[in-house]
Amino acid sequence: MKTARIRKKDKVIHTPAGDRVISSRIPAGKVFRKHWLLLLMLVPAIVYVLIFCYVPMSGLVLAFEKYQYRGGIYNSPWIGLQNFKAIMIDGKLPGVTRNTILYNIAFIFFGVIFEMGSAILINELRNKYFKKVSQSLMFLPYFISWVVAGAIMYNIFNYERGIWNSISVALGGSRFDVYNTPGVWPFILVFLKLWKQTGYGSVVYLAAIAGMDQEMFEAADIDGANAWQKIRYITIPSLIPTMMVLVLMAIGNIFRGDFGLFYQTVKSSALLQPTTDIIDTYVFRLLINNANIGVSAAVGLYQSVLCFITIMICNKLVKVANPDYALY
Amino acid sequence: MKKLTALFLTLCMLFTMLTVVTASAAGVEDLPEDWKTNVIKATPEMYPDTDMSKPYTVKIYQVGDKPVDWDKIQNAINEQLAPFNTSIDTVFMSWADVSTMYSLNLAGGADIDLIFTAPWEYMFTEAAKGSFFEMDADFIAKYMPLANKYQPKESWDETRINGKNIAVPCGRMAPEGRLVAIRTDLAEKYGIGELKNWDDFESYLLTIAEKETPESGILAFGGQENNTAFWELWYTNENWFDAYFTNNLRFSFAYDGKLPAAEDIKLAWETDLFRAFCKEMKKLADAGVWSRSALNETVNQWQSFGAGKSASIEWNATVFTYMKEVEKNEGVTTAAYDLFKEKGTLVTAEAYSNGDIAIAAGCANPERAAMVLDLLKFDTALNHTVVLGIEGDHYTIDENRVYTRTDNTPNYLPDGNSLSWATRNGDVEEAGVPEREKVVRDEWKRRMIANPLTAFIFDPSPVQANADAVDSIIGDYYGMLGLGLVDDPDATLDEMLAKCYAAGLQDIYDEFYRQYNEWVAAR
Amino acid sequence: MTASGRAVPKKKIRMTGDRIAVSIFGYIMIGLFALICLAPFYLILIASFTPENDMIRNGYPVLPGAFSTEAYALCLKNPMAILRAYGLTAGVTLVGTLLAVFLATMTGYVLSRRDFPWRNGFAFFFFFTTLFNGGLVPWFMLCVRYLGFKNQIYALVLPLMFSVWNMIIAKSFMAGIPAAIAESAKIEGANDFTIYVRLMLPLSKPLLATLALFSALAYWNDWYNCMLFITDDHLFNLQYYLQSMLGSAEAMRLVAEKSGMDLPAVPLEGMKMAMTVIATGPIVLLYPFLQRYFVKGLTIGAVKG
Repeated sequence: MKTARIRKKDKVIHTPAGDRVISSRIPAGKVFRKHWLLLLMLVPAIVYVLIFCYVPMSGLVLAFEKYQYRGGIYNSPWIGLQNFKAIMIDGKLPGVTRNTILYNIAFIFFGVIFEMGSAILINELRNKYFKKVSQSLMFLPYFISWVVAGAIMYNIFNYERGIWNSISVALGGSRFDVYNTPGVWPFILVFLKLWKQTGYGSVVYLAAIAGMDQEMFEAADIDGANAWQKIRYITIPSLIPTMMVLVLMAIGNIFRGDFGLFYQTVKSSALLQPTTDIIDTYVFRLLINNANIGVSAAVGLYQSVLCFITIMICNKLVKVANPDYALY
Repeated sequence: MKKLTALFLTLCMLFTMLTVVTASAAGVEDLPEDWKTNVIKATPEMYPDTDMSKPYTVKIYQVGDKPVDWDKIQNAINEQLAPFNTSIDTVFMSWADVSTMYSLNLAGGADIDLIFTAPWEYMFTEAAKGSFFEMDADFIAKYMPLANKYQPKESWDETRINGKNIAVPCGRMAPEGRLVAIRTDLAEKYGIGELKNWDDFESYLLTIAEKETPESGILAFGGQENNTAFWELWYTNENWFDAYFTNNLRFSFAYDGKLPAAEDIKLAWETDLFRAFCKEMKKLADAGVWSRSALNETVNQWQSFGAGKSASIEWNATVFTYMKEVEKNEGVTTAAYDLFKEKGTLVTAEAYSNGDIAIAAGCANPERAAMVLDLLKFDTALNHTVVLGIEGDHYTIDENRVYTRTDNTPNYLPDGNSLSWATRNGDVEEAGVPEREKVVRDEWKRRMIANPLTAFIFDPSPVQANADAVDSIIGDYYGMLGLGLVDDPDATLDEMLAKCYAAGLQDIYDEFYRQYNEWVAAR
Repeated sequence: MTASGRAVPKKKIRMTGDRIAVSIFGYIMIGLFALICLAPFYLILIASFTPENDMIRNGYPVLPGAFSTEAYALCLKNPMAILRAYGLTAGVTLVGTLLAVFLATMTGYVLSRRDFPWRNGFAFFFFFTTLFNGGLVPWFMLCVRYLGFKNQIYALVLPLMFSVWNMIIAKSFMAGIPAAIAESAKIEGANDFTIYVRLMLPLSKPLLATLALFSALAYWNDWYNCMLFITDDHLFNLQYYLQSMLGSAEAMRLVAEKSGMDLPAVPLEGMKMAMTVIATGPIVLLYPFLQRYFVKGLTIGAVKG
């Protein structure tokens, strides 16, 4: 295998793993000729994305317009930043933004622990039937819509007749008023998210584990490593690339919330809002009667810009540490 | 001789012309004045200005779900429309989807000619976006001659913005009173008799909460989400009407026979009446009249009553349906009471504009669409097809326009779809209405009065951002306050109002008074 | 069995102390979590067979009590329609999943090739679309006015056909396959597409299983695209059909209220539960079926062979 000479015009970064050549500034014509088949293989996806993603993206101008039927998307009256003013009037925006990002950080952090953890543990189990059944059971919550989940939650937790409170009273304890206790909701919502997501999310890690090189484990066995050590020094490090990709993609959405989760379980209660209101639910209530296209486009743009800045920074940081883990 | 022939021919031509002219003019003018008892039959000649040379399909967008026998009805309608070289095709926007699809279909350029609308179904917000075709008096006279003749004159005011109509209201105004129904078996158990006013009702609720709920778990009232039901009883008691009502932004006034002065119209939540209401609701909540988790309850108060979970229910005449439902259980009896009969408070009318049809701005042929609408409203055969179904199949009717249900009625319920709500005229009546219902409705008709401010349309667009923000703030607190689930109603209410003013409530007031005074001056 | 078919003797694994400890910990944690996941579904199942008035009065029963099939009767009222919906959804899911997996893996493969200088640029090009979005109205207008999506089956297939998320996972997975394999094939004269089809895909069975699962689930659960584009009830897919059943039941209730008619037996709460069971039924079997592809050593066996 010949090693490439590092030329002066090469873009090189120095990583712990060694010097990496990022690009060699090859002229475009040469790339076309050498990799025309690869480019051809990209064409279907490019066409799809251009039509279904980039063309509608031009509709972002709606964020700066007052939509009128006659003007359509591009010719409605221009009102500059007025739509943004609408979401800043009642001063709730910083609070809901903070909630959105904090919840998402919690979801990402605990999500990785639970998803990677359950994939690793499942991998260690011997009993085939237990593995198959438990994996399928863990997947069930994915099929339960938030509407139904919210109804179930109400049935378990309502003050007078909820299952939780009935059992609690029967055991001699006191009733717990979940719907009037704001402090406990962050825990509840994180738990609900993990409950729904873990089965689905663990699949990627399971696939990654299935693709791992068995030689490493055999070598570790020969060296006398025990099970915990193998997990710690082989399995987990091998899963890091997968984890980084999933985490970065989640960060790309860090200012967007799971509307169904927050709306169907909490409904509308000013008491619970300081701890449970996110951008998506806040905007939903704001526009519920008005369907203001300009304002909802403005909110979307607000979330997009914040996500963009965040992921640009994070991807850059990751690229410096190890370019293979970066998204682009 | 030649001169005579020429004269004769000219006279013949003149005569023919006159006949033709009078024959076509004999269209609409010759129709009887009273459409409620006479059969109106429309003919293509009544629409001389509408070009019917090419066939056209009018696309109608309805809200709600498709009745089982709808296709039969649509075929029957198309048969009757054949002489007009027109047909209809319908799309139903189901209730679950309508909040997304209504404005999306209009903005996204779907092929729509006629669409159902109402103040509670985005009528004014879509009109503000220019999504509806604007009809001036000339258009209506030319292309909707039947409506021009028969539609009650005052109803046009309710959908007129800046001199043009953006939708056509239905032809009926009906009384919308408020009733409560209770479990009389439980009332007898605790020695409670007939309810005559709010205090009687309150003592019933408190008794049930104290004595019955711990025993059998039946709640006094199945409160959920917010307590609009009880609030409506309270302000009806004071003869309040609404000047503007959208979601949570509600401007009301006490009606005393004449148009109110601007200062008398206030935000409903700022009034002393509402403050007293919040305190009263707290008293009921603390007594356990409804669940502490009522804000998140998914089952509404009518279902609760019908399933036997709660002991009272409030609304308009729908209470009778749920009374029948719960009486299916052994030993359960119920009765409905009009808490305001003795006091003699007024009964609001369900406005003409509670169900309308608008022509979409993107409609390719507004004249044809207008004609179809005209026909569906006032051609008696077509109107009865839409409202009642197919005669003999879904209903039978006698010469007094009293109709009876048949076994097949469930497949096309009378007045059971949005097109019917927008085209009904109130000329038919159902036979066999139970006595207890009839008594109540007749009583209401006696006290019915139309809200004088229905024709005043407040346009919030100059202060739209403030209106949305204030609406959202009120929505956060309204449920809690209405259900009395707060520790200190006064403090919470003050907090809510402070936030509203911070979000620009005063600007909304100023704009409202400005528009109102303009409107009063122009009358 | 390795990919090349040679039988490998099954190694007897000695259960040493640490292994036992990990196993026990694993069994307890996973078992607990699985139970927590099952419990709500158990409640849903019981509730779907409970009479409506009982449920309103007493909440969801923990133990089966009164039994009633009224919710299912209403959902399955029209067997022809539901079979049609099932068939349509199955067809759309099958075709859609094949296309989606093909597109995601092919694109992911190209972007995983380290010798392709423009891969990062294109990766950003694709990723950017997950950041910025013009909103529902422009997308709806494009699809309905210019692409003719109204009441067409391809309106159910196209929107979900390419997912950047799936592509990035494919790219990440394929980047982990040693480059030596592709290089040796190149020496033997294979072109990029052949390498992709003949080499990469067979080596990526776990990836294919993952993407197939995600895509199939996305198609199976999709009611949104049906709501937006389909008004002809012969073309409703399963989820939307069930929702329309619920919607018309609610409408029946609404109209019965207005007209003072006898309330039809409309078990709304029960129907929501029954709908979940009916829609979930078949697809929950897909995951166990695909689990056989999550077997270790398929990749490396091929390299060795």
